[in-house]
Amino acid sequence: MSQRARVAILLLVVALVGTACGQKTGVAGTGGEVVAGGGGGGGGGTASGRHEPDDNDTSGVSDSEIVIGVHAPVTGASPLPQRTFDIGKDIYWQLLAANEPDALGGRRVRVVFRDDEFNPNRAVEVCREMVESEGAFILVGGGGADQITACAEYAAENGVPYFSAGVNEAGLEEASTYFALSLTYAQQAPLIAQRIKDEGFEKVGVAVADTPSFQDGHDAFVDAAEEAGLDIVADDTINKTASEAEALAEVQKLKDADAEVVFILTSPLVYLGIAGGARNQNYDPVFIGPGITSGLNQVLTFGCPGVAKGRFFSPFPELDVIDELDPDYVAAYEQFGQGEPADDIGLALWGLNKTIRLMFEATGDELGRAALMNTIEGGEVFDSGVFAPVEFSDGERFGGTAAHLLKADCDTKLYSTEEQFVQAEG
Amino acid sequence: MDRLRERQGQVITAAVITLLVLVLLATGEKESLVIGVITGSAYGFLALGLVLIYKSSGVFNFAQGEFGTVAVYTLYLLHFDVPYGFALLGALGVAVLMGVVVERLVVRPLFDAPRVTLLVATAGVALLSIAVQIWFGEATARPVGRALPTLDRFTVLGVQISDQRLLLLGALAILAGLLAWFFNKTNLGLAILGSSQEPTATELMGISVKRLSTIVWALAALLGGLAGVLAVPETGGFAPGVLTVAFLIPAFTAAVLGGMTSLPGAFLGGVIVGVVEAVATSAPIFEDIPGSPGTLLVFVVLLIVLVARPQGLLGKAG
Amino acid sequence: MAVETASRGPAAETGETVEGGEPSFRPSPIGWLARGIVWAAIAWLVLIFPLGREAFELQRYSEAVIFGIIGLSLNVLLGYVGQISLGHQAFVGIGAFTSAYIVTEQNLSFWVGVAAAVAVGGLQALVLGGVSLRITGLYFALVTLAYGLVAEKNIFQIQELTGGGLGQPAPKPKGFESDFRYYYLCLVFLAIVLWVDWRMMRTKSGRALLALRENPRVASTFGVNVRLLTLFAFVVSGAFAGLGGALLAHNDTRVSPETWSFNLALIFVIMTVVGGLRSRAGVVIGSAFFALIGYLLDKFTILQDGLNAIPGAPDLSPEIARLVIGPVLLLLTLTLTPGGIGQQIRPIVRWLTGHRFDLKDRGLKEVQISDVRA
Repeated sequence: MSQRARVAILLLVVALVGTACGQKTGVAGTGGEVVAGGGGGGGGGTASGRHEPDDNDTSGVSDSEIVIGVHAPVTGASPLPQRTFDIGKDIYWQLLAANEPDALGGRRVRVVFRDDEFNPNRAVEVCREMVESEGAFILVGGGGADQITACAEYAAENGVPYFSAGVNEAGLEEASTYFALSLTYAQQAPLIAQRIKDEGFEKVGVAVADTPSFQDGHDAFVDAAEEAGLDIVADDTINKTASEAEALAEVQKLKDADAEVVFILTSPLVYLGIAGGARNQNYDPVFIGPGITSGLNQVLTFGCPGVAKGRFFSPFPELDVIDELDPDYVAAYEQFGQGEPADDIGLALWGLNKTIRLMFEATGDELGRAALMNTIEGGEVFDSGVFAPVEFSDGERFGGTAAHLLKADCDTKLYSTEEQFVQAEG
Repeated sequence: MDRLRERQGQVITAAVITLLVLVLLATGEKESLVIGVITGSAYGFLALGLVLIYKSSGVFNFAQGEFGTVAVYTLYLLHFDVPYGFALLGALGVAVLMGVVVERLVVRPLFDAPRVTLLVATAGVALLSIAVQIWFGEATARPVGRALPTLDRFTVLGVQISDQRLLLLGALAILAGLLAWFFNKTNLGLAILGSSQEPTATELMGISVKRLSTIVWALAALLGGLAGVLAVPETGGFAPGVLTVAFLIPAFTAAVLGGMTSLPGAFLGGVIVGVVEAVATSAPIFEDIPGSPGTLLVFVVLLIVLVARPQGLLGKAG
Repeated sequence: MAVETASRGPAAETGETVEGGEPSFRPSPIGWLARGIVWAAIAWLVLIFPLGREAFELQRYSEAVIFGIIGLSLNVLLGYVGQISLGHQAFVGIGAFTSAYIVTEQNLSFWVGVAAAVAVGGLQALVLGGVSLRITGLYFALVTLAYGLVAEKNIFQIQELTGGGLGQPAPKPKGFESDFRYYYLCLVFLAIVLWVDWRMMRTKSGRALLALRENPRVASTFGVNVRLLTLFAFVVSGAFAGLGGALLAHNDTRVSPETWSFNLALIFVIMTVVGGLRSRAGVVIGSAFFALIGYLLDKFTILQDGLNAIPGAPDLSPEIARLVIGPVLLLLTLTLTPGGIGQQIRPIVRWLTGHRFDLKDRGLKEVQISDVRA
């Protein structure tokens, strides 16, 4: 009895001592990252700007390697296929290493991928892990607006540059190290409204997932639609992870309101539920919306014929025109794809990677986080030929200038590129 | 006395159903009625298997949904290369195999353990099944072709019903009746019921309790597999754990509502739960419930049944 | 006769020497030294070793400690009372959101948040406990399962509470911002929980609770108020769970609804059962193991290499690993060693607390999850 008490007191004392020690040692750094020569001084002769290098400025960049961390949902409520990510994330860099071994100062790019489980909490965890354990220089978000917003917060707090295709603006405007490499939902809204108008439709239904991240996209569209003189006959939010019954209920509402066109901003799974439900009820509107993931071919593999009238703006074009825009893509897959066919997820990653490469190059050999971000904000235009050209400035970190319009084709079960590089206004 | 209770149960059931239908028609929710019957038939199908296992061994089988998911997964893998009929048979075969394996490896060793232990064990089986599916396959949903492709032959009360759905509903009704007859009238069925109450007596009569157990689990797995292959092509394709995640709780509620010992009860319970869920989702009164109103209402139904009438609508009391 | 059995049983299980039981045993000085060394090694592992690691690893270790707390909370229900909760993630999640809400929306301090989480957790459990008095055994399990689902799909969808799709921020408390300090804070909480649990089971009510499991009728002849005891146990379980939730929230600095899924409920049950019911050390070890599986997989690649040898088996990511290994261990535990890890380490635990090392001592009674009112 008393010996227990003695042991307990001993442990408590050690615990209190340990707490004090914790403050002194902080990050012990025994297994820390390689800090390339030059430490935290000014980033060489590249553009000066508002980003100041900190102690971790060159973490993830060595003389031989640059590490990029990518996260995306491959499990959870709205998963993407894991295999395509595992292969697709490396293809561009493998081609670069083969064809231009001296690019980027002779360094090789290593891409680390983590599943964020469609959970913003987990996204922050894996982003942190990729930076602190795997030594990522920059982070890239593959999809899922909430996860991207969460990770962007983490990245901003730690001075890590973070890139994704354009999603929401709310919550990301304040993330000082975040850069959107294509049009955001809000920026796409006027394009969508105009397109609806041009095709002669009037009655528009709106179905948006019930999450604050989509709010600004929703509001921008409603404003743009009203300006274009369209009639919004239904305006609903639907559960982020709606069940089939909920999708059916939403379909009923849209059908009763007689919507000819439905502006849809949800996860692809919910889109499929709604489109499928509509088909089963003999209700056949045109679905149109912004976003990356609803314009993926996997939606068609599954959703036809319900999604036959789907049109989505997308940062990347589809496979039907890629050969004229960038003949390297398909060839690269044949060489490095390990037997996997070239697909559109890979294409999205290709576009992201290619744009990032241009940004690295513009920064020069003295590659550091602050230097990179200052270069990006310097106003230069980065044109990958796949994504629309992007352009940033100090204060404007949503750099997209145009988007591609994709159209569903249920005969081939592939999206086709109806129109390339549709310019956004302003 | 039992006769009286049975009658009482049937009267209550008839009253509840009539009331539901009238309320729905009156409030203009007739589409929910039809949608509810459709989605509820899938729940009822799973509930059949749950009741079967409960009647014969007192176990709440958490893996029932996974019998269905595994069957659908097999169907998905096979139906691109093999004629649909054979793919179906293969799928059902795999489900039955899984049922037998679970019975051998999990149920047999725990034969005399408390029923709660078995519940936890079957839950473990379900989780393992889901995990393996994610591990070997992908987590994304994949479409599975229907057995009967026609979508628009029938329309009831403004809602289109596909042939596949009708097949499901029909199969459910037939099987519920068949199983009820089996347990009440055939020797084997009575033996199965007897073996759960009096295992020693059953053994003494020369009937192998172990053999009966295997048969029951195989049968339940077959039912689960059928539920999967018939229902999932309609609802959105195969994703790992699809039947457990989306269907199992409503199926349990359906079984409890119908009475854990009544097979026709499982069928009715399923339909009622389906309707409740459909109404919850579409009726304007429930619109302000955060998240998924269906989940909350099904939970409420479960509580009400367990507190007010634990034997359910058609089950035996005590 | 029956009275003696009832009082000896639980007492011996909690590792006490009993008058009139086994003869008094005192270890030799060398015995003391050996025990001391092992204690010191354990203390080093838990207290000193983490200091040399990197910050984000500490976040994982804190999670392991918090899982220990959650395991202990579930152990109260499952091990002491004998009721199964398949919705325990709801208790923990509500604690997490409560604390996050208090700190972020109400701008109060972390300590208020934790206190609120403990209170809410206990209250919620009290309600569920009341339900358990009417609905027992298997049906109660079903109710908890459905409740867990309601928490995931309804309660955690309330925008004000949960901050919408992005989750609710939950910053670390002042003075404990670093992962290192937070880890030690969690350890202190674990120690408190262990101590409360230990004291609770040593009181007359605690012993009566255990007696209740074995023989309800005898227990009630003691003048034990069965209902009150059960409710009390529920409240304690809920309080611990709420605490665990709050600590988890601030460990991750963000709480999202997606975390609290049915999978997690099963993981909690699995870690408690595999840990070993009614064995505090076993439960803590089991829970920590399950929290760290992903981390261990990354560090020790033997399992991964072994799996790669199987043709056609894809890589086992850490997230999936837990879901695969967990149920396998659960089934093995249930069928082969129902006492779990606790049963296996019992000789060691007994030795460490000053008793003779007896390899055959696996506890007086067979450990089972049994339904009190089956």
